Amino acid sequence: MSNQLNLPEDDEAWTTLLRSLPQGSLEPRPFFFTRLQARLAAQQPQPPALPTWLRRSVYAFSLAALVLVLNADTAMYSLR
Amino acid sequence: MSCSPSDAELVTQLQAGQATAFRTMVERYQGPVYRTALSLLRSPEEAEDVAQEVFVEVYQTVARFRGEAALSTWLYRLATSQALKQRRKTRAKKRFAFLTTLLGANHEMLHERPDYRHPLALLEGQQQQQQLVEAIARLPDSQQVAFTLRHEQELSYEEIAAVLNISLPAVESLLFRARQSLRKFLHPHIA
Repeated sequence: MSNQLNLPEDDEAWTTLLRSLPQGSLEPRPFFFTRLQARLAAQQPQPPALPTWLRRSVYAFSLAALVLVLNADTAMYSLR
Repeated sequence: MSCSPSDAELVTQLQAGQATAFRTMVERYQGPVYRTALSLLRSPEEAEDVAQEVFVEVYQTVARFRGEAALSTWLYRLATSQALKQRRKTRAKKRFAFLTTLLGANHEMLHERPDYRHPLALLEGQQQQQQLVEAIARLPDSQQVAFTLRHEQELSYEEIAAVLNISLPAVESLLFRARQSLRKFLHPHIA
């Protein structure tokens, strides 16, 4: 080892060189798990507000028409 | 009995969907995963992002984990591959930004991202140390990963071989070439 940086020759000495240096914060910031949970929650697919079949317009209109027909039928019946 | 579960038990519990097992695994490995990413990226923000992405991937794919490798090996593998991916993305972004300035697409002055120094380099007046850290950053990806896992994360040769999915002689060769390259990079400073 003839250089100023004292680069070691063997494997263990390299580890010692890097280990011997004072180190800064080598841990993630506090509340890492909380942030991870938030990220996981954001990636979860949101359950649909309405069932899939109802989100098809043809079914939605049919259902609305059926409700109207039933209402009209009830109104006619009560008038009699 | 408050004995903490082994890694193999943790994997079984994770696959059974136990939320506490996920928390235990994160708490056990957040440090090593973060440090591995940090040593390759030199940016605490990017390292945290990569560490989170690693645990998200574990959460989403643990059901398919067959256990051919140890949990720690899998995590180190994810951490190194995600960190290298992130680094390629950052470099591509930098190149693109440089090109746009050359082509005059953007008249704003582009500033280099702040050069976060490796924690090892946060030392007063340690220029030689900073040179060493910069030289490590200049190593080719595979050499840098092997060198970092060996001398910063202090993994054994066998563990590195498992993480990189290569043979022991290949690990030895990578480390030998990494040390040779470091001597070569640092030579101008020695002269």
